[in-house]
Amino acid sequence: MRRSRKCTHRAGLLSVLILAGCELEEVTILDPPSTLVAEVYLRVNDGVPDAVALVHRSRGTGNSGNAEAIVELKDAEGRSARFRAVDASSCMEGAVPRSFPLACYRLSGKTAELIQPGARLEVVVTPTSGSVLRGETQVPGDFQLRVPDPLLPTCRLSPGELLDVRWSRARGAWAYVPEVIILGLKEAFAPLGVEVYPGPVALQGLSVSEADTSVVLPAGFGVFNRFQGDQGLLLALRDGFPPGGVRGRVTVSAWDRNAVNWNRVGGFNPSGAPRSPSLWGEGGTGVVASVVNRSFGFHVGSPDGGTPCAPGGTPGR
Amino acid sequence: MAADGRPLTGVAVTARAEGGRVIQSVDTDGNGSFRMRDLPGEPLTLRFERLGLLPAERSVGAGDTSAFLEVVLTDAVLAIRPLFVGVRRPPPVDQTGRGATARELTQVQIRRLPGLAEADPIRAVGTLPGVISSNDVSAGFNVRGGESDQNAILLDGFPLFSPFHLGGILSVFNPDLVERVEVSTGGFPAEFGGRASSLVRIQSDPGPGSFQVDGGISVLAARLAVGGGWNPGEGEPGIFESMKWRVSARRSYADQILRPVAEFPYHMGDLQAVLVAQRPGGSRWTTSAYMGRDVLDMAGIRLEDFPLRLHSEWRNQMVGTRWEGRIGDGGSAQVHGGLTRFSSSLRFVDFDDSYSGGSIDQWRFGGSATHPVTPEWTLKAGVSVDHYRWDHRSEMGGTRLEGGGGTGSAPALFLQADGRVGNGWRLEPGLRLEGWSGRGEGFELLPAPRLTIHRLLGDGGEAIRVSGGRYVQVIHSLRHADLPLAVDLWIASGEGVPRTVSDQIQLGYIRPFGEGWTASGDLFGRTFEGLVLRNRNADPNQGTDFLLVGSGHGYGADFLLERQGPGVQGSLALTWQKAERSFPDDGAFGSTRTLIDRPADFDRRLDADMVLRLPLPWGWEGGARWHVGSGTPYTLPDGGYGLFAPRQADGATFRWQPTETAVILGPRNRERYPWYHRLDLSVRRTFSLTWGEFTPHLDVLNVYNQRNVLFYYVDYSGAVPTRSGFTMLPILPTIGAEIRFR
Repeated sequence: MRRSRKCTHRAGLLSVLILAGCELEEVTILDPPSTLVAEVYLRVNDGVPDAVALVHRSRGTGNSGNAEAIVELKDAEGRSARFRAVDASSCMEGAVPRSFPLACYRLSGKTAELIQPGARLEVVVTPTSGSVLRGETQVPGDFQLRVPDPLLPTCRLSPGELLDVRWSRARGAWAYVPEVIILGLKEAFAPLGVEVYPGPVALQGLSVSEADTSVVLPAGFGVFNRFQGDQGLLLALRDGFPPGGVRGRVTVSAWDRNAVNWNRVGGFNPSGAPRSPSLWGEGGTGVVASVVNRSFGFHVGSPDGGTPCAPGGTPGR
Repeated sequence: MAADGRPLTGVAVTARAEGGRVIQSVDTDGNGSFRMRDLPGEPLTLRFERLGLLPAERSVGAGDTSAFLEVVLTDAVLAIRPLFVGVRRPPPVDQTGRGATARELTQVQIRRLPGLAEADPIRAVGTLPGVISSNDVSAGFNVRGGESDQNAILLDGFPLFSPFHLGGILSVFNPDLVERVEVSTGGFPAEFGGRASSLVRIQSDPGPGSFQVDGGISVLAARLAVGGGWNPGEGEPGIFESMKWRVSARRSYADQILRPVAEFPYHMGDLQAVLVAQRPGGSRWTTSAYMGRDVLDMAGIRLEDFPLRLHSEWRNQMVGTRWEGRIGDGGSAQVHGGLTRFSSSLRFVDFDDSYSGGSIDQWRFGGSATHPVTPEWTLKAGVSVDHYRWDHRSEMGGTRLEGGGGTGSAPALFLQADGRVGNGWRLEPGLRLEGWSGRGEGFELLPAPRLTIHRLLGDGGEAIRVSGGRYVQVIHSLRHADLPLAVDLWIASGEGVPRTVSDQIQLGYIRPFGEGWTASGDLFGRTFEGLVLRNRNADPNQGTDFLLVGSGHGYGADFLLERQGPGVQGSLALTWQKAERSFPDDGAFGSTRTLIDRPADFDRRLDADMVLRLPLPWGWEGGARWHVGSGTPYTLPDGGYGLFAPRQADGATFRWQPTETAVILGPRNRERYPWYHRLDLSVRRTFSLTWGEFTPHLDVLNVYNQRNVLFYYVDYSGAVPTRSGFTMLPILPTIGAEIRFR
């Protein structure tokens, strides 16, 4: 093993505490065999079922360029539906290096009707070479928005208002991950000196357990972005939305246990995020997750600009 | 003679010439007589003295060549200043044959061990056989296959939950206030409960009772200890006959020194005090207190790769008092009471909806009485009650990620006998009844029997000892086992949280030989039921699912070769052990969870510690420690892949996370780090000056800069996978000084 003489003082909590620990020089290790990674999400989106499967590979030797597979959905009564291959870029938001072997599959329309709230379903992923991956999921129960009124297609927030979004329980959900996509933030925040990247801003919130059925819009969103560089925007949003044409859409997503365990990164490993799979098989790993979504639209405006999301909303800090 | 005519023996008779010059001095014999010969021909004064009698004087003239004197001495009532009569307990390594199982470290031994900036009693414990220190950055330790939260660390009999500064790098005990440390790595008697693995008893040093100031400075902290006493004079009776006290304070100073040029985010401080008050009749009150605080405040610091500004604190607080006195004919008793508390918190300055932390309180009350029941047997009986209150929670963005709390009480009764049977046999049978009433549970009673048998082999101290027993523990630390450095979070048993029960046996042999040499060895075996581990896939809808409950065992052998006495002193401690754990597969769910056997995280199979204390030229003293150990286990990924975050809104898409990698973990603890070894050296010398003593010391850790691996990480993002990692401490010279004012 080659060893480094350099003694790098890395920024961060750990290095502060381990005093003067030195970094070992990198040594090349044997490339492990490449394995298939399949991420399958079954979805009931405002009552409409569909599904998406992203198939890729871990880095390593053998089959490294091939992520193609047959993805099938089965229920307990023997009914099944096969995902159709789509252009991988249509499943991606943002850029991905071309070197990544990616394949994407979708299920929609009538073929997706097996996916219903509360259903217990099996997913089988059969790669073109290699062994089969199997996994099961139970779709969370359906739920309804309480605040704002689910009958409103869109509602109005006052500038600086904090909306306590509420919904009913989704049976079997392990967590709710509300997402908001906000438009017009850059322009609205510009007079206030808050820097925002152009384009839509997507932020996620978190409500853990079936019973935690609320989140504050917008202060409770962006919890996963706090560890990144968006601090200025997140701090500004703690005081509510600014005036000036901001609008957006909130999707409250009830996640099953597989989705939670795949994404919550339990445990610590210095090499990367360990994830708990729910797709099993030799030579592969992955998740078969199910989510149920309810969504609403909003805009930020003056009192005469539409139905309020909640009567007497809470002002920001 | 006495007033009643009895001849007085042992009366000191002193003949003095004019001017007080002593000519001759003799004692009276059994008949009360004395004789002085060859006296000079000058007038003399004879003075007659004996303790408890009024002195008398007689004159003898110059011409008296022979004189017969009859002197009557009368009783005198003497007022004397009160005295502390302290009897040191014999060191554990005596003829009872405890050997490698029970050890004592004195303040001198602790100070002369090369240390990280400060002499550290808990780090010194790591040099003993059967004690495994997993890495350089934590003073925590594991004993004979037990978890680190199974070590009872008692300050004057009261526990401290997490007695470490700097996240575990340094213990909280100020060396100036530590008189001695006694470590039992197993087989402790029925009097002791609450922890399953080991007993570390730290005794505060109240000082000599006269005003004394000690100080010290190291690269880490400065400290000051002030002591004094109170001894009333004749005719000043009071509630107490005398008192001794000592208070010490310590604080790190880097934040203060660097303040003009940079923000240093960490500081720690502690305050420790002890008061010993002697009552008429021989009873004694000892009151001890400790409070310590670590603060990591990054409110003024913004790091590029970690923009969150955080403020973290953790504290230990303890106060306790103990009365000890005589009862009956040859018996003794003690009662005690106190409170110990540990708390930790982590907040993010900019986001007040985020918090992580917890606290635990332990009230401890108890008492015991010891009395000889026959010339061969002594019986000790006692009762104790430990009451716990704990809570912990972790919140972010308005949701609770984890949380809980509760209260529980652990009453216990114990009976411990100690007797000699026949020639060379000694038995110590005991029984402890452990009760527990915790959150969500009824009252449970669990007997915990203990038995120790000693057999002396000859008169030279050679002995064998076998002991076994059951040990019960109701509290657990939820310290993140994957992290080399972390702050503890404590909980007590309750619904879904079992008590830890450990059955243990050890067989020991000890043999003193030569000039100050002792060799001893132990074979040991232990089982552990009711171990807990954080469930990384916990069901948030089931409050009891946050822990996985498992079991474990440890077995092995310890060997200790030690030399005490003048000249070079030291010890060689060797440990071979195997510690394994069996936990449900946390990647599976509910009833589908299968048990997975694996090595314990601290499973260092071979461990050797050589410690030397040697005199050097010109009054310098040297210390050396060479620590060698086989590698501890770790989990290496079997592969890595790109991390994609799912988006459920709109068209259900994925977003690639370019700075993150997900890993496919191999079996837990399948790999092992390379062998660990490190040499530490120290030199120190005490200079006696007009105002006191000055002791500078130089410590060099990891003298030959061995790059011991703290952890590895594998990078899968490049063209080829590479492995890198972080080392433990590199070569690290530190200087310091201790000062004692007269």
